Amino acid sequence: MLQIENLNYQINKNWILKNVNLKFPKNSISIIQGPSGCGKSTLLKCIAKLYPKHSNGKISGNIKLNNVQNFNNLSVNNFCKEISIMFQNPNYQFAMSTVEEELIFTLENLQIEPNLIGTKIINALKFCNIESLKKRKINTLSGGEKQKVSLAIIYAMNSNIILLDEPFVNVDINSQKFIIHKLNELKETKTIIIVDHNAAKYNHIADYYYKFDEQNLNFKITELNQSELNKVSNFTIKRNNQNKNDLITLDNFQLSSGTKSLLNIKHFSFKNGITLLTGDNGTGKSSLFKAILKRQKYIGEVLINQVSINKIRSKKFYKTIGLIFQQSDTQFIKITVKEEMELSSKQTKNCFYSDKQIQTMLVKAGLDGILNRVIYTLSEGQKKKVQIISMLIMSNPILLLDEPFNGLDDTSFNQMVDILTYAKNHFNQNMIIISHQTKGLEKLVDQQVQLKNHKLIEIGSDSN
Amino acid sequence: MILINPSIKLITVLIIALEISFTQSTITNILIVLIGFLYLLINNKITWNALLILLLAIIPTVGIFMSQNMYGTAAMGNILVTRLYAYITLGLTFTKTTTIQELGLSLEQNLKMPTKFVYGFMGGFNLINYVKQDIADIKQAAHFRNINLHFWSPSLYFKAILSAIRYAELLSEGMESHGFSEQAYRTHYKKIALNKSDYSKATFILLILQISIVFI
Repeated sequence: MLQIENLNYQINKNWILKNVNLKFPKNSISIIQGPSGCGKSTLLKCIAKLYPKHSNGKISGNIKLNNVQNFNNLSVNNFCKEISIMFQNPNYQFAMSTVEEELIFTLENLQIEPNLIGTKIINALKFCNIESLKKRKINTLSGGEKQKVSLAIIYAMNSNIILLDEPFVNVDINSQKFIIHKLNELKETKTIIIVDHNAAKYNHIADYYYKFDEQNLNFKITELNQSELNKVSNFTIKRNNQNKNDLITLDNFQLSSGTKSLLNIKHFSFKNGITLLTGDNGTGKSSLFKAILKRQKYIGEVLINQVSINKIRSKKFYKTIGLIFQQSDTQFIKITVKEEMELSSKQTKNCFYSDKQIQTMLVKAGLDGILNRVIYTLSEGQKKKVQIISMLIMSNPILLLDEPFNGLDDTSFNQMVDILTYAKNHFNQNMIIISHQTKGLEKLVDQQVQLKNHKLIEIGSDSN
Repeated sequence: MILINPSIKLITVLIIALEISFTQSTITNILIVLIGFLYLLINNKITWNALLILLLAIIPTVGIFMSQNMYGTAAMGNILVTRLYAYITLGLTFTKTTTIQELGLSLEQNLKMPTKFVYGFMGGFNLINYVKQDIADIKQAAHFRNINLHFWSPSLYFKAILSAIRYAELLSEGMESHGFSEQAYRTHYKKIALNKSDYSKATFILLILQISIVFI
């Protein structure tokens, strides 16, 4: 049994987890749900002893294994025999170049006798039904294949406690069913803890469900509520019928990641105004942005204001369209907040904002006091705000925003929604926003588009 | 295929390279080029890529040859040109017949190099792809701000180094999650043999080198 007592975790004085008390009995499967960025992954990494070692956070509280508190003295390889973890992003878990080499590397680390390693590798690959991937190079695999390899390694490690962080994000439905069935078999001897944003797929096999409590920053036990889980979104928008022009059009458009098809669209147009783009993890929302920005190969046509993007010259293209990266650090060019803002106001071609308006915006976002700080020392939330404002100043008629509200607390979230709404109302700026958070966006968003089953569907459109 | 232990091969190649840096024997250099090519030919490793490297080397070769003929001595020109090709051939014979994995495993098992270096190096090698992706991201981020970052721009390097540091941390976390620890003992599934014949092959090669330097 794994017991967590009064676990606290904080990074730079921000609480991530507070007073977490959880018990995971032997031979059980527990599902932990919650919005992304809430601290589910942090919890798993704390259990796996990777945090705070590989993060700059502070931890307090106890994690007990079979009532023994001091299992901290175990060496890394012995610890992995007790507890193993599968990361949310499989890319960051592979050190070797082929699937077989990674499995060998792991089993050698666990000091498995060399004559047993061959059989263990075959069994692990069979467990995930991926024998054919044995000799493949890892960087040629699709996201879903990587996740299956990651799972096979966890199986080969044969730990008593298995932690899985969003294990099925890129895995297709059939493989998912196959692996969940296998996990159910493993339950006979193991303790399995799974973080997943959607728990419905574990119906009938999971024993406990936990939900993140955003007020108290810890986890509460819940029941699997089918009706609640099947609901797409309770988000309603007042449809604005004035904006009817096509902004970005996809014609006979096909997009894939490796061998997995992401999107297959005959014809779809994003309309003028502010569009909210939603859809499950791994459906291809970010890839769609990459295709629109000429960064990912696709089949078919992408048109901006009826002109194919391949016919738009680079200079004009980047004057028309901008992107707010999911990873804030990627956006920054300079060192301090002030330099970053000055760069934008110097380089912009369209000039939506006067110096006075920029100043007002900075004050509103609470950034005026930290203008001389080095960006890379800011908190994730502050970085997001600097990022959004610096791209708004660039005044592109079209702005793509990839999860722009990640890491923002409620106050900052509202500030940013106000600032974006101002841009919409005063400068008619068009935006497509990918966000898993929909609450509080009602006044900003004009229409919602959902990516589901390889298609884009306008929610609440006239035909509905 | 004539096999030789990767670590022994690396050490032999380094010794040869060091020795020809301090000696002035055109014939030795030519001999190294010929033997090197014979080795590549026997192992069936003469690829287009290898030939391209040799072709590109003509540019500096012509430069060195001309300048030595004009401002130095013709003999020195010959030595430098053949030496350059000897270095290239040595490099090719090593890299074309050894994979990173073989070298890593050999350094770990035969030379007892700390596992931290061996696996850190091998892991880092696999991260190159991600860093390339990041550099493309950084360049596009600059385009969004109406700036064109060239490959010599300091900001590009600053950002690339930042992302490399981030990946280094993530890699060490990932390796630890797969049970890796720098102090711990590890078993070895693929044994890289180090036999007496490897030593004798290396000794033989180095002996020929000395003979050619001293007597020819």
